[in-house]
Amino acid sequence: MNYVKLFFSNRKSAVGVIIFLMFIAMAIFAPYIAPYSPTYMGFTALEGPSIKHLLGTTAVGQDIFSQVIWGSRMSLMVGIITGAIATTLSVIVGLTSGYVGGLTDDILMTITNIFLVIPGLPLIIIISAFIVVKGMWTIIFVISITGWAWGARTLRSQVLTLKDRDYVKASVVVGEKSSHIIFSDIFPNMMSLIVANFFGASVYAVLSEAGLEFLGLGNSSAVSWGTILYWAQNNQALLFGLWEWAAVPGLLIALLGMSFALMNFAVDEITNPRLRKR
Amino acid sequence: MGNNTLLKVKDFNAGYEFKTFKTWAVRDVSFDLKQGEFLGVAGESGCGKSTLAFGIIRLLMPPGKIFSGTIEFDGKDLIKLEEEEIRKMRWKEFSMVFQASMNVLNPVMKVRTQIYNAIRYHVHMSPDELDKRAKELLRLINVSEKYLDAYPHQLSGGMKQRVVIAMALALNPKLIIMDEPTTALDVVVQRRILQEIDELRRKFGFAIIFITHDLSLLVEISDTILTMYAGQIIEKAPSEKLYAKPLHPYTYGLMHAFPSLVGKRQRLHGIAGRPPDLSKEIKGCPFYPRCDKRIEGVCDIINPKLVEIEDGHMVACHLYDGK
Amino acid sequence: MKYIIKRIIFFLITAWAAVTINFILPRLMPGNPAEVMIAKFQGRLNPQAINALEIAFGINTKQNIFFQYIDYLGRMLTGNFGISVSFYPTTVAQVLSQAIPWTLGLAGISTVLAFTFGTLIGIGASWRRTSVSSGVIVPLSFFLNAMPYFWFALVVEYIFAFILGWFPLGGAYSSSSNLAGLPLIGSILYHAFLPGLTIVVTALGGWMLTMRNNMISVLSDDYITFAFAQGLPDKTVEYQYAARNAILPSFTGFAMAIGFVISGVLLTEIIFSYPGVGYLLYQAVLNIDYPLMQAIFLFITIAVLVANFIADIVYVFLDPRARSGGE
Repeated sequence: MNYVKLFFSNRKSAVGVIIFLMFIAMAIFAPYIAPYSPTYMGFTALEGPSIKHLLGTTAVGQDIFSQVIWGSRMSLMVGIITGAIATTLSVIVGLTSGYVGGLTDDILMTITNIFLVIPGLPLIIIISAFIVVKGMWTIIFVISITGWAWGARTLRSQVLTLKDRDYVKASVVVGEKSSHIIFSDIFPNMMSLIVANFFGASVYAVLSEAGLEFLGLGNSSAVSWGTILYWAQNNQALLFGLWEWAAVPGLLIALLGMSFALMNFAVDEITNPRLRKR
Repeated sequence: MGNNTLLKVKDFNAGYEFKTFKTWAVRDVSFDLKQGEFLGVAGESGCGKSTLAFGIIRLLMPPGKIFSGTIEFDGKDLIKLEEEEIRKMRWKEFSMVFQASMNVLNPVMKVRTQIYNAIRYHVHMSPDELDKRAKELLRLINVSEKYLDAYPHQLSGGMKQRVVIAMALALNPKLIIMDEPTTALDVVVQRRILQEIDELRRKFGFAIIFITHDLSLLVEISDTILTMYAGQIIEKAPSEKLYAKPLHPYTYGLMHAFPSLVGKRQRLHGIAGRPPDLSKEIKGCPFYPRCDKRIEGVCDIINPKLVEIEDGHMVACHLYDGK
Repeated sequence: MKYIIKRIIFFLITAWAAVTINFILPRLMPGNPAEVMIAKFQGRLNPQAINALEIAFGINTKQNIFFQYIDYLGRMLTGNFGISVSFYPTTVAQVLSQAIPWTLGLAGISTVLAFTFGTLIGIGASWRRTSVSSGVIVPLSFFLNAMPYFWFALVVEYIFAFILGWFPLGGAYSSSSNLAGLPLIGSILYHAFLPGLTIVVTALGGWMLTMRNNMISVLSDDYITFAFAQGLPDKTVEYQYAARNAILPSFTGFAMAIGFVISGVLLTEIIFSYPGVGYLLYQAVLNIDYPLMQAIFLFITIAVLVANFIADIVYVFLDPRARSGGE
């Protein structure tokens, strides 16, 4: 299937792809787009927006605009990598649970349901409180642990439906090896659901990372949209009238999340033709 | 059975339209239906019979669409009516029984409520009257009263279909369209329900349009049978005449596709090939590629019109040109 | 009935899992968990705090880990969560019990409102498939869904409380004058408005999208066509036939939805300094008040489980197939 055409066929998802690509460009070309280093503290503190500082400066004299540009890297990386890891976990658990069935299924599903019910953010907070080293990878780890359960459940349902299909049963009768059945018959037909899952997990990851940083539980010395918001809040940006400091990173997070959702929309509409406008 | 014409379908065209994709599932269909008449419609899958059934009562959901024609029911052209006018006529004037394999009953509503709903949005009845009527209807189709307070998933396939038939009768309509009402049921139940349907028809005098792919079912109970192919009517005749002498090669093929239960073993005739693509224009007779009696130079160029050959027996076939 | 029993068992297992996670987590770090905390915060803890921590961790270094666990379970069951480090010497249970009503009120009412409005809009957006519904409402709910809750809370607070001054900046009620009775209730509602609005708006999108997708799926079911064939009025088919069936997955998917609402409530309370459980958790984290953190985590998990359980029971009422054990 021509994936490029797929994403551009639908107007909504085309918008999503464009927004997403703009962010990718922002992240990759950050060194060229940002006027200054994000961590350089030599500017006059707490200045409003001007030609020199498009979004103003922080309480310790850093250029906010540069921070926002560079911040896209961490936010995107955490979002996408976590999304990928969580999706992989979901696929492994969901596929195994659905295909093998029996006791394995019961056990895996109980574990999944527990992770599903235990609320994500409080769990992330608790785990973070214990982790001494706060790097990007610990954040990725913590968010992945809480984000795979939903995907595992939906993928398992899909596997159960596919297992019942005639072509799978035919493979079983012919005596194909399980690994062959899983990878040739079942897996390809789940691709669209897995992709949809990936987008959902990525949105969740981006939001969770921002939330964690905002609460001060992340790596406050790193530069990501979440940490910018943290410092903005801590320095009471709003009370000082520096609303751009807080508004812009949040807006970008929302736009990134929305772009994932829009791209997901195309996948949704393709797999479920009833969702198309009649 | 009265002699008044209840339904007059003329040059009816309908199909499916989605963006640039369009199929003509029903092509220039015309026929009449008398009050109380049992009309059977036979044809293979995809010949347009369901589209015709839904189209006649304007129940085609998008991407289904009526393209042109007139449907005169009791003097009114259904195609020209407003949504609200049709809605008022529904169920009171005409009702429909869907295919037995479909899940037409609301899974979260009791049977009782569903029967009530079929009635009370058209006719005002007190709760007592509704209760009486519901029980009466179940009796007619031989289902126990206690199932009134059951939910659809608690009923067997045959019972669900009976309930649907009971609902179709609820307001004593003049016409009931039945689209493969017994196909998904086992043969014993099938036969019993068919008999019940026929008894009810004799009792209440409604007309039936009965759609099926199984010609043998129709031969016994229909008054008239029409066969469809590629969206067109290719033969129409009183059932005994059709059975005795099927004129169109396709009808002949359908008739002889089933082995007889008694007598010598016979060689079965299938009909080779498959129906044409209905999204394209068809030149000549649609059955041409599969017909073993085709006349080259005629059948592939001109689409035969439906003409009356003998008394009441109509056929669309060049074999009978000039008869 | 069997369904309910299964749900009760699941409830108990998950509660046990949450408690166990609480127990295991600090022990995953090498060394004595209390020492880990101390090392982490480099002597900023006073001796009483260390003691409280040890009790909370259930560390009695004389017993082996299994007995520590049993001991710990026992204390959890009796509600003995130890003494709060940040609010020393008040017990955790006391601190928690003061915060709970605020969160229940705010979160409870907001969730009900978000669910109701989201579902109704979802029904409307699917029934009339105009370009407005598809082109405006759907992308809008995507945006709302992807928007960081705390950011939206900040924006709301900034515009309506700071700039326009229509609503207070935070707190649960005005502590200035000694209010009681009706004026107190008025003050409470006044203070709850912005946080409530934030939660409702952010949670709305999810419910709306779910309902809309469910409705569209249901609309292609045969019983809908049959309902139209019977000439039932539009509204009747929309609500009694379509919506009534479409709403069922919302209840089975309740667990997931509640998780997001919890995050929203937490972050909103923090922004608005609303004295509920979320704000308390934030303070607990800042003060490294582990006993309090532990108890809050447990409370939130139990609350979510209870909410789920209620949703399950409502589901049984709504879907007759669940009652007979059918799929």
